[in-house]
Amino acid sequence: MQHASWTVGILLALLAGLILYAIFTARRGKRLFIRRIPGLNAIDEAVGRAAEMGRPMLFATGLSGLDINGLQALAVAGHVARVAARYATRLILCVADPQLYAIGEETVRDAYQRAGRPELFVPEDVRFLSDQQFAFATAASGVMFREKVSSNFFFGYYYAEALILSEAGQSIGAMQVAGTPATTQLPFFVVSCDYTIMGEEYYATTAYLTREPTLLGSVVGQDWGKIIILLLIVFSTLALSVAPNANWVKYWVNLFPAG
Amino acid sequence: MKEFFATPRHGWELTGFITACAVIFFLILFVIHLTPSSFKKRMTIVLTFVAGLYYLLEFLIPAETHIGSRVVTNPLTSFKEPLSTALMITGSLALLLGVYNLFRINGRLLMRRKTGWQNGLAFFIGFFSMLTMAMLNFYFPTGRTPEEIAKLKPLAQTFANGADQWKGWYNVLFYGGFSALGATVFSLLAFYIVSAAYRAFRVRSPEAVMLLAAAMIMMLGLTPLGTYFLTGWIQPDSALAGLKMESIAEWILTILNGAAQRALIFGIAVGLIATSLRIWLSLERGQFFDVEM
Amino acid sequence: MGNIDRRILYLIALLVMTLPLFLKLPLPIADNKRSLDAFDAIEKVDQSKGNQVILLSVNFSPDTKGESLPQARAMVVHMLQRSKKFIIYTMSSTGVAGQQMVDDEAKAIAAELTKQGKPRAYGKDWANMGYKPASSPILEGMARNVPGFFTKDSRGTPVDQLPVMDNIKTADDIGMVIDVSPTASYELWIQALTSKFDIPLLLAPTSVMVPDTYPYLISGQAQGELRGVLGAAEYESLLVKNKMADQSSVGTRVMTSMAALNAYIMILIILGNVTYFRSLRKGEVTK
Repeated sequence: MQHASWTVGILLALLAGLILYAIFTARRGKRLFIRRIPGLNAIDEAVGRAAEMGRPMLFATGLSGLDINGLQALAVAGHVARVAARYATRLILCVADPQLYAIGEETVRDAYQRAGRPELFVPEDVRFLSDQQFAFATAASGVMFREKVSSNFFFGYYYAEALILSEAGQSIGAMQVAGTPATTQLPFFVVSCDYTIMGEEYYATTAYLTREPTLLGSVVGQDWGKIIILLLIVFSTLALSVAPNANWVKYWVNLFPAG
Repeated sequence: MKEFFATPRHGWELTGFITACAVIFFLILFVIHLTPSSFKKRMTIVLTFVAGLYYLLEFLIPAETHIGSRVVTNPLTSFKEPLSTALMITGSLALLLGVYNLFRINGRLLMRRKTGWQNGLAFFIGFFSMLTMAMLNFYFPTGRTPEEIAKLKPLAQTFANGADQWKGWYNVLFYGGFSALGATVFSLLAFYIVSAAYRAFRVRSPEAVMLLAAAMIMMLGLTPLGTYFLTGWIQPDSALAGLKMESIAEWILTILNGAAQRALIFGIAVGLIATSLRIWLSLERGQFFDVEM
Repeated sequence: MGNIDRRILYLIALLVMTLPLFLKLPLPIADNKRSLDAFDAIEKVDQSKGNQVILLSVNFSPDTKGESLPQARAMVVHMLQRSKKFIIYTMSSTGVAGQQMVDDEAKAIAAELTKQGKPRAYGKDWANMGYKPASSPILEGMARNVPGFFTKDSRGTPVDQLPVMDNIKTADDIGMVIDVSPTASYELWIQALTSKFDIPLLLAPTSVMVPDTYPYLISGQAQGELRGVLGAAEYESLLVKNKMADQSSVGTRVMTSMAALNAYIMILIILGNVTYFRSLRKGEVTK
């Protein structure tokens, strides 16, 4: 779709309105609930494990570029870096996009500064490996084996390198937490990682970790938006099942053309 | 303005144009550097908003609107293509940042003879050999006639005469080295799937049973193992055709997987809208840097 | 038996995968609706008025050529056999090598057909239009002016000197888009071109991308699909049935290895579960 039809415009305005309303409600102090996501609770456990074993951790952003998925991955990396700084544990951040590398370096440096341990930040621990898929996978696997990492975090958009990275981590006994919106790679992460965060949970990660009112409100607003979409689906399914040839049903279906 | 920037230039006009752009760029950068950080933050917020607003309006405004007898086209659409090109060019410039990082890390590894310094050496050998051969192959391609070569400067003629060699070396490095290594690493997936399946498909819970059953049906339904050996005897037009392995596999892909994929797509799409909204309106609070917007 | 050294597992996997290739045991391939739909869609492309060129978008690198090249090859055989004009295009820099491979396959197939008395020539029946980076706005621009986008082919020949591009002006003159890619580049085609101009779209993704494509197939935004190397094998089987090829090609040969590997994996899963239940009974592990 190159330009919005009026139905898409209304739907977009409705979703955006709900999300913004929830954000501003949360900012005004309303307490909001998010269900427990075990994978995110495990982040602290993974960092603690690394601290006990005296071994570093690896955080890989997959093939994410400078887009929403990449920025979200860096937000999680920032949180992991803050926890790592508290435990005085080394975090190695591997990225496949040079633009993400620049932001990632600042994010990790800032995280160590905010934790009051700027001296622990090592610039060489933020690495641009390669923008080529399998070169990135090979290089990240090499980092895992050479540095003998105790915990791996795979957050971002992944393609076929997902299984290569997670199996490499499995072979060295690392604890692994993965989160990706890439539906094709979820099965591979599920079978080879200890915890997997899937689909829209990935976008709720920062809200869950930081409990920022803005982010919590955004997650709640998303859920309201999904309820609206669900109601539209149920209504349309019933309408098409009960009266498929009615004029108003045909008009309704044509309001939402494919593509 | 679009025509001013899009008009091709040559010779001194091109050099002057690039120089003027570079000077203006560094001037703007210098002025921004002198401003206080609160101004920089506010400018970031304003620029982010304006950039996002352009794309939002371009999407929402119809391609053509009929006002009376006049047809008014979307005025923002004509800028979309050059903006997209400009963004791609800017993004590719960032590759230099990545190369700098690789040089720094591998350079230190090599110079300080740390453990694994051989990897640093391998990086530099690979980098410079590929760069050299690719550039020679690009600037001195095969297929030039002796007359065309004779028109070149003497040094260029020397390189042009070796075009077959450069192409040969380039092919060895790219097709024989890089491509073959990429395919090799991709084939590791087959082995990793073996170890992952052996380790992970244990019947520990009802969900694990469902996962295992679906995996088995898909493996049987997508190879001759199931389609020929198991249910090959069922005729396609018989009453039992729905029980053929490929039909069951297709049902799982179409009905179960299709529904789950759509649910994930909806969730991810709404998540994307929310995250984009937060970034566009700068509602993030110190997510990447310790800056409250 | 429960914890077999993974090196032994990998060694057996290597033998299981490679032996069938040497033993040459082709297994029969069942028909599949998606491949049949793709076959029929190419058959239906009507180029009798001199337009409706097929756009073969090839975006795979040598890494995934094991799956993508047999897919592209099978469709190129079909198009050249039926004299359906097509152009090869790539929108990714890593796809240039894949594009060249497909072009080389087309040359070899064309030479074979010419020997059989069905002359096919580069420039007249197909052309390699090279690499041009693309995004949604760029493809929208292409839709308005195709020769303005493809100004010359990969060899530097101007587009007005390529007979295959005669009468091809706008998106209305594109008869079909075929996307051979290990990534979700089909979303770009749907967004920018095929849905707006009602152009049939065929997908040829790698196996791991197949589940993602089903929503588009079910909604009718894509008209057919070759599902990884299995899809290539199914297509080759259709070519043989329709007498467009004497024998099946690499896709079918690879399927025997795949079937053997799948059987091995299933045996391992059963072995693993047998060991697991025995350990449970002995009390060595808890559920």
